[in-house]
Amino acid sequence: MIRILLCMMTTSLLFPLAARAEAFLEAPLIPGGKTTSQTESRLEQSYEVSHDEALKFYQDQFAKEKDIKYRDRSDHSFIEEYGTRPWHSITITNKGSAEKKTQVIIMRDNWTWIMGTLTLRFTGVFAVLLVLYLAMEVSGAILARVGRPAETKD
Amino acid sequence: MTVHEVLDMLWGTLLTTGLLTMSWKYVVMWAIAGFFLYLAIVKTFEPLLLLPIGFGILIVNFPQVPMMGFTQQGHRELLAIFYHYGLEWEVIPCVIFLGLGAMTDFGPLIANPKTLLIGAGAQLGVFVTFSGTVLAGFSLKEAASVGIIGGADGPTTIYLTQHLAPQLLGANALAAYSYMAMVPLIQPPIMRLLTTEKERLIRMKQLRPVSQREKILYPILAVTVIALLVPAVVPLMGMFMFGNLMKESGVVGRLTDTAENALMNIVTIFLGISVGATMQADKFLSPKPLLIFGLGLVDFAVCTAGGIFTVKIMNLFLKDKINPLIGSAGVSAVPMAARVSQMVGTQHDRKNYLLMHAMGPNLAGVIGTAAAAGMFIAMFE
Repeated sequence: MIRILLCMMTTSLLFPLAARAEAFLEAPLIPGGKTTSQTESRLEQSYEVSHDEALKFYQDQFAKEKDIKYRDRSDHSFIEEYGTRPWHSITITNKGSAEKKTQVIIMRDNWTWIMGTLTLRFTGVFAVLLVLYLAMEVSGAILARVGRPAETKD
Repeated sequence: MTVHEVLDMLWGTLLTTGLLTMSWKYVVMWAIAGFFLYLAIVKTFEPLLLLPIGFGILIVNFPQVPMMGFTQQGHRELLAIFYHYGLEWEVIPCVIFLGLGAMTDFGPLIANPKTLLIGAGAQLGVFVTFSGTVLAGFSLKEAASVGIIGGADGPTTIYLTQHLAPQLLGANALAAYSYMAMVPLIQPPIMRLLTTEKERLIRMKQLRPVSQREKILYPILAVTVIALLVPAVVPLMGMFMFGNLMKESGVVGRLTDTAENALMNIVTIFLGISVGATMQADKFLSPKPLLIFGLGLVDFAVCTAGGIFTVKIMNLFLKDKINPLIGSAGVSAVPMAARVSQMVGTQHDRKNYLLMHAMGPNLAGVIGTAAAAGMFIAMFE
């Protein structure tokens, strides 16, 4: 037992990050959270910290990461991961409030999201070309009208 | 001078050569370089690109060559300079698009704008391969950059890869250009498999003549729509349409001539050799590039199928049917893919001239691939 404790103390002194590294799906957890709901793919925790403090924690944690994107929503912050880690998103609620109560929701990388976004973007390509098609049809019709009297004059 | 000193000097000289640090990896890369040089010189597959790429691969795969690193003073070496300013700064793909615009006649697309939808349908593989690439363990950004290979558009592939996954630039560019060169080998079996004899015999109505006024208006209209809907790819499409406007306006003949000839040739040299130079043995000889080549082939096949299926769906609603063989031209690879449609078409009906009809989806494919790239950039940035 003493040996284990000594080992833990040495580890925490030498590698403080590893010692603190409580995580869900490899996403770090803010210490002192209370789990309100948990499944294999989703963890919801509440904290006695403000939104900004929670966001700062994750910004520090991911300072050296490349594949992290922060999105500002009206009432929450959304962190997305585009690398190969098992977690996909972290939502931090209670944005804009100084109240020291925040909920953090961590979600697994899921195929519903991937397939959804791909379908949406494939449809988007069609939409872009469809708009161009309509613009060409309209401009073609206008040009045909404008061009006709000039041709008659000639 | 003693014998020991002479031996010491010889040893010192030997150390400055690459002989002592040779490795089997370099030999493998020489073989790959040789293969690309063979395709370019003997088979004349896309020689303008495969020759500089092949030579770029060869020249960086020797020990101690001062090509892609930094000098002792901290300056970039020769090919590293080309790579940094040309590709990392994303200058070359955009200048290539300027030249392509100056070489392109959008007449067939303006005459039959419906074919724009084929260009969109042919992006199916881009999105299907994205999922496959994620399954293979790549990150989402890497998956997007691999997926775009199927769009068969080299500059767009380079542009997107440089944005999202620069570490895959060499493999992605090489896969894109190799498969573009192999369009005449890859597409015909898929085209035959997915079409019936009756469909292959469909003769399309001759395209209407397009006025010069329409041709001048088109690049302005297209860039406006694209800038509004997918601003992320305006560096590419803006240059493409600028080149085309120069050509069609007819008032800047000297500039058009430079863009489509001298400038295009210059950047092609720098593009090819820089892409080749990214393939250093240590980076290239790993499972990822091999996977990218495999996924790229699937990507091409699905994109080809996507174009053909889009035509089939459109035919359900159209009075004047479209020959599904032109659907395969929806992957960019201008004008090779359109020529393949013509070739397969004439094999079944000698008097069925599909080339000009296929140019419509072919050019739409360029815009479609750029739109897909813009969607990916917007997704991650």
